[in-house]
Formats: sequence, structure tokens, C-alpha cells
Amino acid sequence: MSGDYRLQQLRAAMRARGVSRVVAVSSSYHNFLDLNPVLVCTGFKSMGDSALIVNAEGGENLIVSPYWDAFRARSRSGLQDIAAVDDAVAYLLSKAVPAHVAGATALAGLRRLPTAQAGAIRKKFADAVDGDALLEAAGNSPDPSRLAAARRAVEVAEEGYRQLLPLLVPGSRECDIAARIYTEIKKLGADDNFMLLTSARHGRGITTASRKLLEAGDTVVIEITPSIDGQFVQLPRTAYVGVPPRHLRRDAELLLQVFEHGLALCRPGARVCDVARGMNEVLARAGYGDYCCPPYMRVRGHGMGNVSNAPGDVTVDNDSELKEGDVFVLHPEQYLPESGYLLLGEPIAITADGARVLTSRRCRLDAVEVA
Amino acid sequence: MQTMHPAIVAGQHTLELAAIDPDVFAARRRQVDDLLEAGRYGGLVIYGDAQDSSVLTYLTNYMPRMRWAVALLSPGQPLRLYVAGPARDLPFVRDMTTVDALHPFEVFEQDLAAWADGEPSCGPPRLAGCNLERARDPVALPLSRVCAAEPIDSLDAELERLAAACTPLVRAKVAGAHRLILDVAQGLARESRRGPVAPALAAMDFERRAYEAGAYQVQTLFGDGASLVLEPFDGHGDPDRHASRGVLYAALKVAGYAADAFVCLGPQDDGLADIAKEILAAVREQAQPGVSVASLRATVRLLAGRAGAAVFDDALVAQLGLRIVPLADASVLSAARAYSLKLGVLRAGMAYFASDVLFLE
Repeated sequence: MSGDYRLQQLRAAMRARGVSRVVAVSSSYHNFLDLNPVLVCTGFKSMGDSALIVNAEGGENLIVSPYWDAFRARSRSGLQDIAAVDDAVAYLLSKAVPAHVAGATALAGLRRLPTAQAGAIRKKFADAVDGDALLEAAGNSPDPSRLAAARRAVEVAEEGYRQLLPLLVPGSRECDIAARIYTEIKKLGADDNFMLLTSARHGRGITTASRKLLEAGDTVVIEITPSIDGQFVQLPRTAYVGVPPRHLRRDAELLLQVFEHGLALCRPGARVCDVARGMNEVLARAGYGDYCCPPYMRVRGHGMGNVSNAPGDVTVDNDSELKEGDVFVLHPEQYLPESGYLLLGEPIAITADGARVLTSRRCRLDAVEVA
Repeated sequence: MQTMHPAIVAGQHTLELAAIDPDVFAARRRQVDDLLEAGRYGGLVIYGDAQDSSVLTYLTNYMPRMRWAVALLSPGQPLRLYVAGPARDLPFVRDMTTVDALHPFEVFEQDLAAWADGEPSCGPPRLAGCNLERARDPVALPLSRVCAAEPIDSLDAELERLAAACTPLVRAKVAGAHRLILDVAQGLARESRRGPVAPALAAMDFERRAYEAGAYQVQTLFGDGASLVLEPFDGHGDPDRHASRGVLYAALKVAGYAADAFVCLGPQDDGLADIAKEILAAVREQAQPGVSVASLRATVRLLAGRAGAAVFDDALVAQLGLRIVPLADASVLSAARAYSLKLGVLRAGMAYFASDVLFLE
């Protein structure tokens, strides 16, 4: 099962740190930017709240909700000791789960729960230490299945984009295009897709598709972000309906230079903030230094994925170091005064000595012919 | 029924599409002001997120797609809405809501502190809250810091009662959402009448067609029609796997209001379908204000047992409105409410799922 390697890593880390038991809790409220502790260790994504109790010396208990999802939980996780209940947190707080065991207990995932719920769990396991770092390390471990999932997700994203481009015709509705691609992405095996699509003559951002009809002269910014086994990858793209004007081609070329410079800075040990600063410097040299902040941009890239969200947001505030195996999107999303909001970039993986773009077709400003 | 929460809520929802008269929102606001005045509260904090924003939506039409939002409301003053997410998204939020005073969430704590202090002449107001049990750290921690001296009273029950009331407008909206499910489903059912069916693909097709028809937050489960097991598409298994029949559970919103239903696909066992429909009809007849869900469930199990059928009744009764609220056994049906009734029966390796919508006057 896809969580096996990571579960082994977790156990090894537990033993090294003297932790006897990890109690990991996952919310039903899935966010593609957040770690899902239960999914990290089991490969199973629960519909309701869920929890996993991992014992350092072997054995794990999975608590899932709703109770009628037991069959799927068993099939996806490969685990046998499963409590399928109506309320996973209530079960966790009940006598069925001992508050104390011999040795230390670590809690993980509580920061993503409602505060009141997290408080109740902390109260029960009052002696527990913070286990989030253990789960993050397990999720970020060089798990072959995670990289394979990322590669598969990239294939799916690229195929989705390939199918999307011909749909960008004047008169077509944003939401109809998005609905179709959302479905096609699922048919290709993605369990979810964080998909944004916005068209405008002079856009200011990107959001979910609206009822707007596409027109000749629209710039269409797109994010296709499929998930395979909890690993999301993002394909950021910009297309123009018609023949792109010169200023748009120029600005898109500038963003590609920003991307390439950022990519060149990415290697194991490089600080994320330095990558972001390097990308900003390219824009500053072009006279757009004042635009390197919200609301003109948000981040220069980000991790994502319910298994690993390393290295976090690519911003000048993030001083964490890139590691081999990190998979994230590097995207100079940027509002520029002449062209409006543009979005270009690639999902990349940090290799032993640099970074590799995962797509087969490099991003560029795509132009959709208008009859 | 529980479904898989998506990374981002898709579909159409704007103030224009909701087609709710501004006077309605004004009247709702007056209701809340009256409630605050009766309780001598000087302020109300309302939390909403992409899973549950019913009271927030009731007052503002806004539904967060990915993160959360918090409203600060003082009687007689314009409501302020703090929206989590990038600042570039605020113009898009504006299309969804009646609220003029939109703010990025980054300024929430500083504004909260000033708001909680109240007017210099009056001192700190007594505060109430709604849906705060769901709030996560970015909201809950500032609230606990700023409002440490005086606990925030919960008005959950009162406000949820207001938001759940099935007025003629709400009835029309819920009925419209339910009708959309049936309209889309009928197309799929027609195409699958002779079988075989690929239930996972049918669920995906349902989602696409529902979005194209203008729905918001479409969520589905599917089953193979040979058991009572329903599942979300989670990327595992072959979506093209066919069965002689299938079943879909679909939930969606239109104009902010939610409905759900079961849809059977492929050739059906008429005898089993009749059993399911008869049980549902009996439940519908019994479902009056004051009746408990437990007693309805007992009826289902009695009748299913007599027919020699196993039953899935976990989602038997749900309250419909700005969100779908599954009702536990202890719940009692109320007047002026909209409900969905749903069950599945299994016999001789074949399953049939039936559902209906019920408006209690």
C-alpha cells in the first residue's frame, strides 16, 4: 500500500526519539496545502474525520468515519484493525483508546482540527508531545511511491491541459470548460483536482471558473492541480484567445525568465527565501520591483499535497532548505500593469544536484486560434 | 450523507445567481439584530468555512470555497466580513456577497480588538458567537486572546433555527436544487436503462452535467447496485469498471440551497424497487412534526425485515437548506422544515436506493 514506506519511516523515527505511540488525527476538511496524517501513513483518504494510532513496536489501529466506509478503508489501507464509527474524534476520546501507555505518546495533526476539538484531544492525552514533525518527516521522506504518484499526476495534468486548450473558443463558458476538464481529470485517475480558470481582457487574479463567456482577446489563466494518492501537482498555464499582442508576449517571456532563474537556484540546501528573492530580482531589474508583493502576486511557488507539502510557500520569509525529493510548483504568478495577471510555471522535483522539471512540454504563452 | 470534501468547492454561486431580493437579506439582518437586542448582546461573531457556512450564507450569501470567513456584526451597523485567502481574491468574493465591508483576514485580529472594545462611552459589548466550535486556530486563537475577559455566548441554536426555517423562498430554492438532481439523473438513467453501467463514470458524468446546469458543490457517491456499499471516487480502481446496474448518491447546491437524492441506473428489479418505494412512502406518511427519526428508522427496519431485505438507513433523514444536516435518532422532525428521506434495500444480491424530498408545513 502507498503508505507502507512512510509508516516504516515513522516507526523508525519514533524509536529513535523514544516515542512509543503516535496518535495522528485527520480532519474531513481536506486542504490540498496541508498534510493529511492518516493518509501519510496508510494511503487512505477518509471522508469523515479519522485517526491512526501507531505503536513503535508494531501494530496500528485505524479509526474511520462514517462507519459504512469500513470496506474502502480496509481495501485502501491494507490494515485489519479498523474501528469504523460515526464520530472518529468521539471514539478517540472514549475509553476505547487509552489515554496513557508505557512510554511517550505524540499527537499529530491537531493544528488542522477545529480548535475546540483539538483542545479536547490534548486534554485527554495531556502528557503527549507534539508529533507533527514526525509525520512531516515521514511524509517528506524519499518515498518512491510518492515520486511515482507525482509523475503520474503530471501526466494527468498535461493531458488535461491538452484537452482544455481546444475548448478555449469565443462563446464558450468558463464553467463548462472547467466542468468538462474536472471530469476528464478524474477519469484519468485523479481523486481530486484543485482547478482554477479565469479569463479576462486584463485580469487581476485567478479563481474558480465563472459563467463568463470567453471572448477573442481574453487572457486565460489556468491551474490544473490533480491528486494521485494524495500527491498533488500543479500545472500553471496562460493562454490567449487569438494572436497575443506584443506586450503580452514580452511579459510572458519575462515570467519565463523569472521561472528559469528560480529553477537554476533550486538545489538541495538552497534556502527557499533565496529562490524567491532571486525570482523577484529578475522582475525588479525589469522595473517591476514594486509589484513583487500582494495583491499583485501571492507566492513564487508552493508545496502541496496531503503526503508532503515541502517546502511550503516559496516566499522571501521561508528560510527552510530545499531537500532532494521535494516536489513542488515553481510559478511566477504575477500581475503586470500592461498585461494583467499572468501565471506560468512548472511542477519540479529537487534532484541530487539541482532541480528537474516534471512536465514533458515546457510552459509558454499558448495562443488559441480564433476562426 | 458524508461525502469527500474537495480541495476547492467548484460550481456557480454569485449574488446574481442566488436571485434573492436584497429586502430578504435586510429582513434576515433585522431578525438577527432583534435576537441580539433581546439577549442584550452588543456584537456577534459568525464563523463559516468551506464545509459549513450556513448562518454566514443566510446573512451574506457568501460561501467560502476553500478556507474560512468571519463576520463581525454590531446591531444597526453594517456587517464586516473577513475572508481568508489571497488579497487578489477579494474582487471575486464581492460577486458572491451582499457585504460591502470586505476585508482580508490578515486584519481580523486588529479589527476584532477594536470592535470588542466597543465605543469609548459604552465600554466592551457583550458578545455572542455562531459556529465558533468549528473555528480553527487562525480564528479561535485571536478570539480567545481578544475576548479573554468575557466568554462569548453561543447563539448557534437560535441562529441555525432562523437559517433552517423553510419559508416559501427556501422551499422554492430547495425544490429547485432537488429538481436539478432529478433532471440530470433522468438523463443518465435513460442512457443506462439497458445496462451495463460504469457507476464511477456515471458519478463523474453526473457531476459534469450538474455543473453545466449551474449547480454548486456537487458531491457524489456511487455503488454497483449489488450491495449497500457506497463510495466516493478516490482514484483507486478502474473508473470504467462496469456492472449490470449502479446507484448514485448526489448532493448539490443551487442558489446557495442544498438537496440530495439517490439515483438508480441500469435495469432494475421491479419487485425490489416497489419494496423500497413502499417503505419510503410509509416513512413519508409517518414523518410529521414531533416524530423522532428513531421511530422512522424503526418503521424502515420493520418493513424491510418483512420483505426479507437488508436495509441501508444511515442517511434516512437529513434536514435540507443552506446545508445538508444528517439527523440522528434522537432528532425530532419540526414544522417549517425541508427534509430528504433516503434508504437502500438489498435482497438476493440486488440493491435499490430510493429517496424523496419532504416539506413539512
